[in-house]
Amino acid sequence: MNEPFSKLDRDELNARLEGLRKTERKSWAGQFTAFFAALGVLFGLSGCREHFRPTCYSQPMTPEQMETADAAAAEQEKAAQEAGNETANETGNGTENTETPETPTNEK
Amino acid sequence: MSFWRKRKAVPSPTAGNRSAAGGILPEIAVFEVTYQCQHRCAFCYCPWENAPDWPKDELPTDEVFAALEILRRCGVRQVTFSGGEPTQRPDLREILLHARSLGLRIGLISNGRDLNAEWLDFLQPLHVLLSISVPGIETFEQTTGVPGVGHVLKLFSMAKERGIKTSANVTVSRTNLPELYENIAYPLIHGADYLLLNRFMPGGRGMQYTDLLLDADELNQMLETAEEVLRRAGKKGHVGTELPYCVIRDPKKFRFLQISSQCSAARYFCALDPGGWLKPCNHSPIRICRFDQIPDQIPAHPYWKRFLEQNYLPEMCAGCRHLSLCRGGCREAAHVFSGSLDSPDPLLCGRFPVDP
Ligand code: SF4
Ligand code: SF4
Repeated sequence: MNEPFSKLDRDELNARLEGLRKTERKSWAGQFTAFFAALGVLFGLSGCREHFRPTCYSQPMTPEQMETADAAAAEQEKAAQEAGNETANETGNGTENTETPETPTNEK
Repeated sequence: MSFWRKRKAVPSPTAGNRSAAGGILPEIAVFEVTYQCQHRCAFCYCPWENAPDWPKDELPTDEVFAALEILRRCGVRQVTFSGGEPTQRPDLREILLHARSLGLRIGLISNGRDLNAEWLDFLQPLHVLLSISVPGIETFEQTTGVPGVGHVLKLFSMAKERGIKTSANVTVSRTNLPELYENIAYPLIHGADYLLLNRFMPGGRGMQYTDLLLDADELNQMLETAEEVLRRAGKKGHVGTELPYCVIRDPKKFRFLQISSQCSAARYFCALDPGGWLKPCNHSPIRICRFDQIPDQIPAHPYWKRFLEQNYLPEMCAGCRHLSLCRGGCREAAHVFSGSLDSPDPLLCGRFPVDP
């Protein structure tokens, strides 16, 4: 049970993390917003992501859902390219993740 | 501007996302199939870990199958198996195969101790999404009571080689907070695809360790650290246990870590315990009814309805300007910690500095 693993200092860890970003920028992990957008459309939700969080110890996505996410992301990317825009994934900045009260009309 | 930011965040006052199949249960269920576990995690919320008289009424295989069938009929489409430690059930493979034969999507939450290449080869064709708990690197043994973080890290690599998607489950207490950067980074560089980040919540065995609960400052440190690691790796994650919105210092800065402040128990997911009793959430101290009574009892059950109707707002939250986003943080943590469903979230219970 006590399997050894390489201990890395913070600089080495950071280099490995940044390596992940370069190699996996377009992988499923970067596609969540597209996935939730697709589901929002699918289920006619009001658009609040907080309402669509499988939560606690349940899983964020199954492989089938990931496939849907990949397809939705590909569509999104295509649409963005057609519009001449860079997608958030391409900039490596990810996408906005928290529903913030940037919609002040919702606040009391 | 993302899709979501153009939309309004208007919570439904009554039922949430009921099953797409029109059932009486939400689409996602967590099935705690066993009381057994080889670890002794300080943060374990399982209610039976704090109740010596809890009946050890674990369902036999045929009743697990029957429960899965009823969940399916009531609208559940995804079942995440947990425990205890689900691999402690000798019939777990049969259970997973049966769930798959019912057309259910499967998740598995494990401490990883008994998982190996053979297990992963079994899970791969079932398209199981695997969540492995890794609550520390240097502090792993201190928190779990057993050594073995190297084995868990290796599992992420082995799963990656097989194309199995994995989530690293990191529960954060004062024990691992000082090494949280490493605690998140190591699973990711070993192949974890996603981060499920949880604050240590009072409940179960955790009630003996309430000195390890995070305060508001520490919680923000947790969020900021996770965001920084995820940003570097270009990975995503979410906070599994809902947070009071007013505790989050700067909600707009989180782009890789998704945070929720709306309780989704009974509305978007539910839980079944090892005895086959339905609960709104895996953190619930209340058993609602046994699985075979679900169709009759759920529609009118008062405790269930409180969750569906979000009828549990703490008095301190009345009139809050964030009510469209927040319903007072985790309701069952409040229930367990302070005795009632409409108590303030433990993060807002006096000993924590807050500025709502
Ligand atoms: S509803 Fe309550 S917990 Fe949520 S932001 Fe308002 S005061 Fe805080
Ligand atoms: S009871 Fe707490 S952990 Fe469970 S869904 Fe509600 S907020 Fe999340």
